[in-house]
Order: sequence, then structure tokens, then C-alpha cells
Amino acid sequence: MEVAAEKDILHEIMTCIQCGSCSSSCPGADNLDLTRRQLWRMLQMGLVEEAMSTELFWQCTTCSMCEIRCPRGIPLNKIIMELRERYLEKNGPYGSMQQMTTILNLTKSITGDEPKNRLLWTENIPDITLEEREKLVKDQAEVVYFTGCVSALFPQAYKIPQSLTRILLKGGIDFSLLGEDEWCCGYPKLAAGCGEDSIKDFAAHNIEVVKAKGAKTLLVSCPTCYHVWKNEYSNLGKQHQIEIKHYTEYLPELIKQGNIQFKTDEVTITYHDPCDLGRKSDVIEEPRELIRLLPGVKLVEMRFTGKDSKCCGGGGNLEMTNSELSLEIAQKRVAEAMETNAQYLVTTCQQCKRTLQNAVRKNRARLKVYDLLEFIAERIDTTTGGEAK
Amino acid sequence: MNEVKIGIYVCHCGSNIGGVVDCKEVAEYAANLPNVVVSRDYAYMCSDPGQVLIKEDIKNLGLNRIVVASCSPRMHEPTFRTVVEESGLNPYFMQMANIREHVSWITNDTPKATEKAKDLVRAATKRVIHQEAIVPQEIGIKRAALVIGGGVAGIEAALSVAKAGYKTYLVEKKPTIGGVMAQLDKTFPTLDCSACILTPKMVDVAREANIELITNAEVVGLDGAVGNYTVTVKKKPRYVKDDCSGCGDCVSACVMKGRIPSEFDYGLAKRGAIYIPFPQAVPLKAVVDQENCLMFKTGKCKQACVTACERNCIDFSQKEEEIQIEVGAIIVATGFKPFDAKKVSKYGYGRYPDVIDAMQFERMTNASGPTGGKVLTSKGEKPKKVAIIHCVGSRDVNTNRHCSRVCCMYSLKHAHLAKEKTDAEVYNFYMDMRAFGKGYEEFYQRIQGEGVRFIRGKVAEIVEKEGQLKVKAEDTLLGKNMELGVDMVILSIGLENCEDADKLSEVLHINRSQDGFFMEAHPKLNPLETPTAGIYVAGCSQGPKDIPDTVCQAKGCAGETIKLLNIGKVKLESTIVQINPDICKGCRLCQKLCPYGALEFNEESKIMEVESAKCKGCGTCAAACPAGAIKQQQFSTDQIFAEIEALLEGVESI
Ligand SMILES: Cc1cc2nc3c(=O)[nH]c(=O)nc-3n(C[C@H](O)[C@H](O)[C@H](O)COP(=O)(O)OP(=O)(O)OC[C@H]3O[C@@H](n4cnc5c(N)ncnc54)[C@H](O)[C@@H]3O)c2cc1C
Ligand code: SF4
Ligand code: SF4
Ligand code: SF4
Ligand code: SF4
Ligand code: SF4
Repeated sequence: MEVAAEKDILHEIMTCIQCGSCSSSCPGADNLDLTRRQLWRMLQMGLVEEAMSTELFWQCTTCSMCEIRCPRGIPLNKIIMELRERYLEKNGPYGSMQQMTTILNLTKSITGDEPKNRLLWTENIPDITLEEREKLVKDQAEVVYFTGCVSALFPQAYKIPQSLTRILLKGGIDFSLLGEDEWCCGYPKLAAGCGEDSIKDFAAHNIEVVKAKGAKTLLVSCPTCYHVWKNEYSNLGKQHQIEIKHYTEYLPELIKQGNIQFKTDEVTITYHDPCDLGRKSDVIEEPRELIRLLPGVKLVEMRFTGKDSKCCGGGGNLEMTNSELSLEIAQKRVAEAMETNAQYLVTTCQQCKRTLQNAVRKNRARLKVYDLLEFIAERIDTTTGGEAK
Repeated sequence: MNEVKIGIYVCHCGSNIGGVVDCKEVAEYAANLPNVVVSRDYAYMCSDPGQVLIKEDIKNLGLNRIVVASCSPRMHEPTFRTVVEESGLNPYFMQMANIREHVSWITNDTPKATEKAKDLVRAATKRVIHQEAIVPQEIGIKRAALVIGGGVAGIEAALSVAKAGYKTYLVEKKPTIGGVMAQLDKTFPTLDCSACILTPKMVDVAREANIELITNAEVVGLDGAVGNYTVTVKKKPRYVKDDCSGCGDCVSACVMKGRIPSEFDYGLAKRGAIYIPFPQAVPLKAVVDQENCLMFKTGKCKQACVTACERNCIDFSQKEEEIQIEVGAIIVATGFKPFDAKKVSKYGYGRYPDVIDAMQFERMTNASGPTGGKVLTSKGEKPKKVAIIHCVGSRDVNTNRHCSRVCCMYSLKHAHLAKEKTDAEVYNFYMDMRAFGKGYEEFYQRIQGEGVRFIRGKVAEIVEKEGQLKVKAEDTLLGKNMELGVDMVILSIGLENCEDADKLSEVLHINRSQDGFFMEAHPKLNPLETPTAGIYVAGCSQGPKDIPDTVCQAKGCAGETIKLLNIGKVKLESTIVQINPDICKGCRLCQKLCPYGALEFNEESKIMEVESAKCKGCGTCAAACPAGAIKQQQFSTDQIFAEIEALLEGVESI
């Protein structure tokens, strides 16, 4: 029997005590043929080929729930990624991922859109002037807003970047979009098992175009882009002096300045922490602080929140490989939200919003699913034009 | 001085040294060094034959200096000193060269290791010539002991020392002694009643003339060294005079009665602002909880307690006071803190009323507890299904990495009690079953036989659904995820270091190991003493353990203490300093540097003096004295320079 070499990430599994906490923590593993633990056991015994043939590591949203609960602190997410990489090397792309990676390499976007389509969403932003719209892409700016593929290219998500744009304009922030120069952050390739090296040019390009604008701060609305910028790009040795901020880390200051007037009627919301933002990046308090700054808004927490927050089912390309499982996970989360009796289920990720909204439709639940940006924009008091008196 | 005749003994330490260093070559080399009369190598110098070898040589060859090249002096310096002493020489005419930790254990390169061993032997040989006879001073000690913490460990230790005839101070932080054991119901594996075996001991403490019990108090300062410690104890006011008979009239009268969660009942019952912790408390006296008493909170109360007390014991004017006690030895027995299950949010402790922790279950099953011994859910019903979750706050990188040792066994006990009292189906979720003690494996089998189901799997989470608690885990022996609906969950919480371990370790100058518990001097061969001589550690303050182990350790510490007090004197460090009054200029530089406050300036003679009992021989002052007035025994300038010069000869030869 072969024991994995010590430098090999698979060696980390040697300290697994086979407790099964990961198995029963995994949002999607109840109906799989083998439990997570059994997969690790194969690796522990050196049966890597056998483990690969289960393909179970594709049925994972990379939510990290297993990892934070593992009593031995094993980096299970990295192990899953390693298995995906090995699979890809041996068998080529898994399922529909072939198409996605080809498109990404060609067009630098997950949809295959041309670069100019990245600005389509700016065309009908409510209450901004034409002049303002024309200045959304500037040569130089303090702050750059990295929109991300989903927000920029899926019409259902347009409201998210539009809302942030409105808020930034109302707050008088000097910011710019990257427009045609923005490339995908590269995460879908990582999740497809293409390995870190495969996104090196994506990192280099994105860093370069942001730097060209002389920006000190990079604002993101997508937690996955955030995670990749903050953690993966620097792992790749791509140094940059840019401060990466999710909007929930940036907006509280802006709103505290009091330049924006909000509605005051009372609503109850519950907040879903996106895995990439909460569990993986520890941005947990900030979104809540932002919510508390909104008058009339009452936040009720779900049973599992913050680091414990349950996955929406939308991560790790699971939608592509097993859409039924993805939906099933989302339905469980929506059921949890329903228990709070909140009127809104608010999150801070366009992908969570999408999967949760699908589940709400499927469950015929009476729950409005919003990204926090959309929610904030909707709470702006339009009777006063949102301007503070 | 007579002619110097040196004997050299190079030890192989089996293959520990001999496997790397060419010991024969080292011995042959050393034979040619000046003043060396004999040089030998031998398999185990510390063995009897090894020791005899040295003794015979001293007798037959008239040796007067010995060099042993072997292991670190930590273990065997005393051995070889004794050998030398038994042969009629002063023990300080022996010098060790460490060729194991400093040579053979750090390389596999035989030629280089052998060279280094030769260098070290040469240095020791040159040094030993300058070594002087030392007769360590002895001083008398305070024949009294201090025990900190009045749990079962502290109680047992204090009783043993006191019964041996020594004055013993027992300082307890809480208003009563008893510790956790006083809160337990039955004890595994015999299931005998905890209070029934503990309370007689507590009463003994109260009766024992040699014990001075100081409750509601903490140790805040320590001065001195082994044999002569001065301890500062801070006594918190009880606001009740010693006349209190423990009648409890004030307790029933207090206007806050039934409003403050009782710590003794682990929050399952409520008490007032003046209370008696439990009926068998020692001392059996009421105490005012300053944080909650209206007199302290608002300054206004009708003082029903004062009116109720016929003996006029309540006295709000009592003040905190500090007292000093003098003792020769100290036993630390401050116990443990049960893990706070709120920190593991996935189990819903503090959110779901029927998720309780093991301490609460102990109180619940206790016939004198808040439910009169009935096991009931928050709805007041007998649970039909109970889950017991092992390793909560233990064996987990997210909380504590150590195994808490007692929870497997008390979980078995709880399974038995839950079944006995409610006839519920009981499920124990465990990772590994640890039944290491005497009668423990048999106990495990017995509980299995009673029909308790054991599921090997760490519980992932608990949620409340459809009026039940759903416990999610993988049954790893079936390889299936499961969700079990139960009416009550008991969390088997782990044991953590005592509450103010950090403060106490600072005050007492004792260390803590990585798990946070107090550290022993040597895990195998000196498990009772701390690295600070004369301070011992017993019970759970040293690490999680069951009552039998706690009591063994406590009695062991008592034995060590009695031994020390019985001898009645301690030898001072052989490395203490002497100040030459003819050279000292009275600049006082050394005084500022001494970390132990051992230097005292004599205002009359304007010369610095050493208080030998306090000097730890650290050498700081000797190195600093600009006049060179301070001589440190065993580290005289001659000795150190001879050693350095000999080492430098080696450098030239490279
Ligand atoms: C739920 C549960 C069930 C258990 N059941 C069993 C069982 O059935 N059988 C068994 O063998 N063991 C059992 N144990 C273990 C048992 O409780 C311990 O072995 C025992 O209590 C250890 O005694 P101790 O004196 O070391 O510590 P403790 O009982 O913790 O006593 C320490 C004392 O020191 C005091 N103290 C703390 N800090 C200071 C300070 N700074 N200054 C002065 N005083 C201080 C505390 O107030 C306390 O009175 C159980 C443990 C738990 C948690
Ligand atoms: S990361 Fe999430 S989805 Fe993937 S195995 Fe772990 S718990 Fe399951
Ligand atoms: S939670 Fe960690 S230790 Fe437990 S089975 Fe999973 S990987 Fe192994
Ligand atoms: S003063 Fe009042 S609150 Fe305080 S102990 Fe007496 S009755 Fe209770
Ligand atoms: S004794 Fe048992 S329950 Fe306690 S930590 Fe160790 S394995 Fe876990
Ligand atoms: S050697 Fe000097 S500095 Fe060190 S303890 Fe003794 S007197 Fe103090």
C-alpha cells in the first residue's frame, strides 16, 4: 500500500479519524453512493484510482462546511480540487465543463459574450443621467468596481451592478468600471479542475487593467471574485498593492455619512451568508452592520448563520454537473429561511440569489429573494430623490 | 593543592552515543591530556558496574577529579556526584561533558561527531582542574504547607499533610470547598454516590485542627523559594460574620430569592442574593453575592436578610483584605473548567432548551438537585429518546485538541442513569471509546448490555424540527448518514484548564503545557512537581483526569510535601553567588538586575550583600558587576576561561 508523499496535498488526509462529521455536514451528500468519509478512507489507504472512479468530488459546491467542522482541520476543499485536477489530467473535462472552459479561454467570459456586452447592463439604470452613464468607464479613478461575469452578463442579475452604481453615484464616489477590459476572475476554471496555473494570465490581465486606472481600491459585488482576488491571485505570486473590498466592507462608511435618505417602513429580513464571503473569507459582521444601518429593517437570523451558514447549492460548478442536487440544497436553505417568517431573504451574491430564487419558485414560498444591493437600492427613499435634506 | 589526578569516563549510552561517536577514540585521545591518569569508555556509565568502575579508580589510582562524558547533566549529574561523594571526594570535583544531546543526537557524521566529543571532553578536563569543593549551605524551612483549590484534589492533599502534623492552609476561591465532585450525582464505574463519599471528607477538613480553611479567597502574590515561601492571599468579604450557624433564615428572606441562576445547579435552579451554596457546604455559612445584592447594586433594599438573622451576622461593612502566610511548600489543585458548549453553535446549546450539557444532567439526576433527581425535558416530561454526544469541546482543532479522558466514562454513566430513570432509548454518539481505567471496559460492556445504542460518528449538527431535536451524523460503521429524532440531547463537554490559569501561572512562576493545563517538571519521572521547586500540582489542574487519578496525584503531592517538611531544611543552590566585601564598590548595579530580589544593600558598610536563600544562581549579577566583586560558585572566572580556552584550542586545529 502506498502512502501519499508528504508534500502531496493528499497526504493531509492521513490524520483523518474517520468520524464522519464531514459526511453529515455536506449539504449534498445524503443521497450519494458513498459518504464523504468513505472517499477519504480510500485516499488514506492509497486507493487513489478507486477514489477517482467514484467521481464524487464533482458533486460538491466547495462550500467548505465539511472543512470547518473537521475535528482534525484537514483542508478538504483543497483535496477535492486536487482530485478534480487529477481527473482532468487523466480523463479530460468532466461533463459540460469542456464547453465552459473552451468558451472561457476564447472569450474570457463564462457566457461567451463579446467584451462590449459587458456594459449592456448600464443602459437602463434607473434615475441616472446620460452624462453620468457616459462617465462610468473612466481613465483614472480611486475606486474600480469589478462587476464579475454573472452580474454583467445575465440580464436577471443586472439589478445588482445597477444598484451599486446608483449607490456609489449618490454617495459621490469617484469610481470606474473596467468595461470591455474586464475578464472573468478565473474561478470556473479552478472549480473545473484546470489548476492554479490555468488562471495565471487572467490574474495578470485583471491586475494590470486595474492598476492602469491608478485605483487604490477594488470593489467587488461577487463573493467568488472576492475570494479569488483576495486569496488565489496572491497565491499565484501576483503581487498588487490594490485593496480588495466586498461592497459590504465599503458601503457602511458611505451610508454613515448620511447623504442618502432611506425609507423607514418596517420590514423583516433574514440574511444568507454566501460561502465564499462568510465561511471562506470571514466577512460576516460587515453585511450585518450594513443591514443595521437601514432604518426600519429588522434582521432575524436563520438557525445556521455566519460561519455555520448553509450552502445555497450554487457553488463549485455543481449547477453544471448536477442541477437537481443543486436545487435540492437550495430548497433546504429556503426552508430554513421560511422558519424565520421574514419577508425577504437577502444575500450578498448574485449566484446565491439565483439558486435561492429558483428554489423559492419551486417551493412556491412567499419570500422575496434579493441581493443586499438591490435591497438597499429599493430602500432608497425616492420621494426625496434619495437625497438627504 | 595536591597533584591533580583526573579520571575520564566516556559513555556509549548503548547505541545512543556509541552508534555515532567513536567512544574508544575519544577515550584514547583524552588519555593523553595533561593530568589525566586514566581514561575509559564503557557501555553504560550510569549502571552499577559503570559506577563501580569510577569508585574503584578513585580508590586504586588516587583520582581527585572526574569527568563523565555522557548525557545531559539534567538526569545524571546527581548520580555521578553521589558516586564521587561516596568515594570520599567533594561531589563538585565532578564535571560532565554532554556528548549525547549536544553531539550524537544531532548528527550522523561519525568523524565530525567524534571530533566534537573530543573538544567537549578536553574543555571539561581543563575546567575540572579549577573546580572547587563546595559544601552547599542548608537553611531551615517553614514547616507548613499551602494548598490552592478545595476540590477533591485539594481536600485529599490538605488532609494528608495536616494529618501528618503540619499546619496546612487551604485557600479556595469559591465560598465553599467541594469542587466539581460535590456537584456530581453518581460516579463511574461503581456508580457510588458522589456526595456520600465526598462530604465526610469535607467535614473532616472543617474539623481538622491543623487545617486553616480560607474560602472566598485567592492567591495574588508569591515571594521566596522552596522551603520559605511568603504567599499573599486576597480574601473577598463574605458580608456574613463567622458566627453564622448556616440556619438559612436570611436565605429564605432575601428579596432577590429565586431570581439568580445558581452556579451550583448549573443554572437549572435559582437562588437569592444571599445564599448557602448547597446543604453540605463547608464552611456552612451564608454568603452575599455582591454582584446581585441590591445593597451593592442600588444601595437600597429593605435588608430582609438583616431582619431575618437572629444572630446579627450580616455585615455590609466587611472589606476585602490581604493576608500573608508563610509556608515551605505549595500544592496547586485548582481543577478544571467544564467546556462552554455555547462555543459549538452547531449543537444549539443555549438555543434549544432540551440540549443540555453534562454538568446540568448531573444536577438533574441528583436526588438533591433542582428536579429532585427526575430526568425531565423542558416540557416537564420524561424523554422517550435521548442522545448523548461525546467529545464536545475535546479532540477538535476548533476547540481543544486534547482528549478530556473522563467524558467517555461519564457518558456511559449518563446513558445508564437516563435509561434507569426514564426507560428512554439512549444513543451514544462517539468517535472512539476510551475505557482505560480499572473496571472501565467492564463498565462499557455492562452499559451496552443494558441496551444503550452506540453510534460511531461525530455529530454534525442538531436542529429542531417537528417538535423534536434532529441529530445529524454519519453512522460510520454502516457508512450511512442518519438523522435521529430525540427529545433530549446531553452534550458531553470536555475539561479545560481552570479559570484563571494564566493569572495563577504568573503569580506562582509555573508553566502551562500546550493544552493550557499546568505543566509538570517531567512528564514521566517528576509528574507531581512543577519546574519551580517546592510547588506541586495535583488533580485536573495538571490535566483532565478521573477521581481515582486525582486522588492518587493529590496524595502523591502530599507525600512529597511531607517529605520536604519532614527533612526540615533545604540545600541552597550550589551555584549561588558570593560578594567579596573588599572589592564591592557599592554601585548597586547588580541589585537592579537581580530578578529574584536576592541582593540587599547594607547601608552601614555601603556594601552589597546576598540573601543566599533567595539567590537562584542565575549569574546575572556576577556577569554585570563592573568591579568583579561577585563570584558565582561553580562558574568562577578561572573555570569558565579554562573551558573556553580549551575549546578554542579545538578551533585552531580545524
Ligand atoms: C460532567 C462530569 C462528570 C464526571 N463524572 C465523574 C465520575 O463519575 N467519576 C470520576 O472519577 N470522575 C468524574 N468526573 C471528573 C471529576 O469531576 C474530576 O476528576 C474531579 O472533579 C477533579 O477534582 P479537582 O479537585 O482536581 O478539580 P475541581 O473539582 O475542579 O476542584 C478545583 C477547586 O479549585 C478551586 N479553584 C479554582 N481556581 C482557584 C484559584 N485560583 N484559587 C483558589 N481556588 C481555586 C475551584 O473553585 C474548585 O473548588 C466528571 C467530570 C465531569 C465534568
Ligand atoms: S465543500 Fe461542501 S459540498 Fe463539498 S464536500 Fe464539503 S460540505 Fe460537501
Ligand atoms: S470530518 Fe475530518 S476527521 Fe472526520 S471523517 Fe471527515 S475528514 Fe475525517
Ligand atoms: S440586602 Fe436585600 S438583596 Fe441583599 S442579601 Fe439582603 S435581602 Fe437580599
Ligand atoms: S474521553 Fe471520550 S468523550 Fe472525552 S474527549 Fe476523550 S474520546 Fe472524547
Ligand atoms: S545570581 Fe545574582 S542576580 Fe542571580 S539570583 Fe543570585 S543574586 Fe540574583
